[in-house]
Amino acid sequence: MSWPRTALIVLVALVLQVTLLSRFSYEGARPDLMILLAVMAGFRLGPERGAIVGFAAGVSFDIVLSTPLGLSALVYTIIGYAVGAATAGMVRTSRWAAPVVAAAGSAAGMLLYALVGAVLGEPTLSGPSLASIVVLVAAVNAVLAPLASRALVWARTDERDRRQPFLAR
Amino acid sequence: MAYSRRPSRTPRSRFTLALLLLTAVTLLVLDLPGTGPLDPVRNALGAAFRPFRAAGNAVFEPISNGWKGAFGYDDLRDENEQLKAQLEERKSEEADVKRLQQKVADLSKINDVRVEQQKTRVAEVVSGPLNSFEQTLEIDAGSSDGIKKGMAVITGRARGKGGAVLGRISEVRSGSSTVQLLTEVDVSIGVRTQKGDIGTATGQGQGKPLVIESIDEPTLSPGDYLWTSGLDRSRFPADLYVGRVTKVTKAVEGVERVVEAEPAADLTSRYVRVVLREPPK
Repeated sequence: MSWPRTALIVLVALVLQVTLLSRFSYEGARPDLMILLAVMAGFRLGPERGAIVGFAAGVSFDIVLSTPLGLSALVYTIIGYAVGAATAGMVRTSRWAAPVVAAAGSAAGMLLYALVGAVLGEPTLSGPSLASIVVLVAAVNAVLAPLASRALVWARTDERDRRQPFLAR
Repeated sequence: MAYSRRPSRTPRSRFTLALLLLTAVTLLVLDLPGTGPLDPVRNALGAAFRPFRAAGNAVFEPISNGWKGAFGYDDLRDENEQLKAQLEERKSEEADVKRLQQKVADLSKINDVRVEQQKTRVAEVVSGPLNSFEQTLEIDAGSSDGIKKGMAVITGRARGKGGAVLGRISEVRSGSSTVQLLTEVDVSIGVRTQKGDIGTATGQGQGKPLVIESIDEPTLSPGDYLWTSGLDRSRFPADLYVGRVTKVTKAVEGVERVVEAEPAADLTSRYVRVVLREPPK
């Protein structure tokens, strides 16, 4: 696994989220690219790396959000690990696997975020309808899943792995 | 494309998970409201991210504007909005005259009441809500511009001319600040009707109306206008336009009367004014 590449992916995703995706909203609900990274990392790289990428994506998103630092990190870490554990034995040759996992994982992530935020006293349940957030984020992330999946597969293999391809596995 | 079987839940992966969760919870505890030991770290990292954000904005703003142009506005909608704005403006002017008449009457009774002019600072909105759960804006003015936590923020009206209350400053950094919108649940401001009745307007969440409390005037009806009351210790100066009453339900046995109002501020404004009035301690 190439950590510089992973860091680059997280940075690019954060820039896209903050400057592009956050501008589009439906009934107040906005896409969330950072949760997609956590979900796809769990799916493609396993629970441990899913948790690490989820934490990195969450904590970097927390820095630019006004919500408490650590809220996204906590939720995305759990989601990255859970998706990795839940899909460990899954056959991933189907072209629909990544979008389906992205949609389900993102939906679960939004529900968990709203729940944890409400427990911490944040107004996560008083904004846009939770149903519209879950549906929008799941739908957008299902569409973007192949792209995120390719990026994470690129990050999984560094130069040393290329020279010794069998060790990469 | 076939993928090899990956390592699943091993003791090491559980240890990593526990470590990350512990770190996240520690960050959460340290960042609890009012404590703020992580604010300098957060501000420094936010500042480091700013060039990337500026570059992203420069690249993606035309795309966003194109999207809005394609799907957000058509001629009919523009015409409709213009007519609505004219109507609102006329109604607002009439209500304003009534309010001023009432005010003159009150002033004649109390000679020592003064309306002080407030200094304001213009700021640009550099970022809206970044995810579905956020209800704040970021502006490009901070403590170096005299901005303090709790100061009132006003902007243009969504329909018609004039200003309206947008929210209050919730976080201040050296070169930027966070604005909490008046629609957020824990934001409450003192309001006055055109007839002079005083109450409070409390946010119920994004896209939801404000709830007006403590006004027992039985003739209060939909369409009535609301201004800030500016009472003692209020963070908002008096006579800033807040919005209009949209719904009044009568009290029935066991159920209280409900009054709702639509905020007048254009929540998508690009520029805002911060009222540089010392917030109450």
